[in-house]
Amino acid sequence: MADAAAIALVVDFAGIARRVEATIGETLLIALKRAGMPLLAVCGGRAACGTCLITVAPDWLPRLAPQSRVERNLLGAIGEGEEYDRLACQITLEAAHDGLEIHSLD
Amino acid sequence: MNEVMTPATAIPATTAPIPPTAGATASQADLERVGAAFARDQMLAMRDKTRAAIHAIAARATPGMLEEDAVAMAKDMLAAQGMLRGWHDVYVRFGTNTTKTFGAESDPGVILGKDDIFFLDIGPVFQQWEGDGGETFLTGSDPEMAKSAVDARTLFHIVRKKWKDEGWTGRQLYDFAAAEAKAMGWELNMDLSGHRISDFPHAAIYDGPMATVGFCPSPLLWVLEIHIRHPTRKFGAFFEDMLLDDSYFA
Repeated sequence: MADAAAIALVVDFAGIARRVEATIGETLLIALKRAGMPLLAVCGGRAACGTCLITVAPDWLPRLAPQSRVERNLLGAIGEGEEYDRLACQITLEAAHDGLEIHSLD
Repeated sequence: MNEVMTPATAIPATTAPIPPTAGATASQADLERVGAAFARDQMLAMRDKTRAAIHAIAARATPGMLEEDAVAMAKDMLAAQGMLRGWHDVYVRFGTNTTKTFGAESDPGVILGKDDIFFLDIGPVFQQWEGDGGETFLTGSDPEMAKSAVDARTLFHIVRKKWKDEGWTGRQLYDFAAAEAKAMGWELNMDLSGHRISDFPHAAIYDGPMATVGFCPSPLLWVLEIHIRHPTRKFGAFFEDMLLDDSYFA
């Protein structure tokens, strides 16, 4: 990467894999919205609405910070919470996330 | 006018949201679209659930409680009723945090006092329907705090009467609200100036303010918000409910 503060994500949206640039320290939601991904995120990234739901590639899940109680409760409440589902607003990107694969977007 | 109606136009899922800045120019038909799950009775039932939840949560907010704990308590109570999902976050604002605008982070560590003020602003979703409501409560008898809580509710109804009786536009309603608030001795926070409500999520239709629209909003489809602040002391009051006629406020 030319910029030490930047990482790249691999986003599989509608069956097409796409490389998305992201900045360390921002949330995954911000990176995906900037890339034009159709996430409503109506609550503004506060883990209240569940409209930034994504699915993380299984290999990557252990490398993300675990769900907070708030995220876990919301995923349970909206009937989602499959093993690899996360809220993009709750994932803060780190250098170690370079290459993070997101399988699908609801 | 203002019979509670059942909108007939369901928005196709693929239609892009109208930008929040386009409220002044977009048509009423476009701004008042609803989704496929919209149902008059469900929206009214959701309104009742929301107001009941506000009062239940407020009843358990007691002096000595930390605001962060009150928010967690509120979320637990909403979750117990199947309403943990919200189209916006749960706001319980204590004391000086009652001056904070929508979406702003509260100052941490604020404890509810024995002669204090607090408000709730919740936007729960039950199944497919959105609720939204807010109200202010006191723990003591501070006369200015008491007046602010009464005035927020009173101003809500004064403005709502103009909507009902005069058929004013969203812009007219909030110009009037700001002037009335000033006459009452308060400052109106125009960041909280009404918005759409619908089947979830209304943001897929229009997530902008009601205060910019150039038509008289239809009942059941919008909420009216009044957030007033004391001109010198650090507290405010909030009241929010659906735009509906008098029969719904008996």
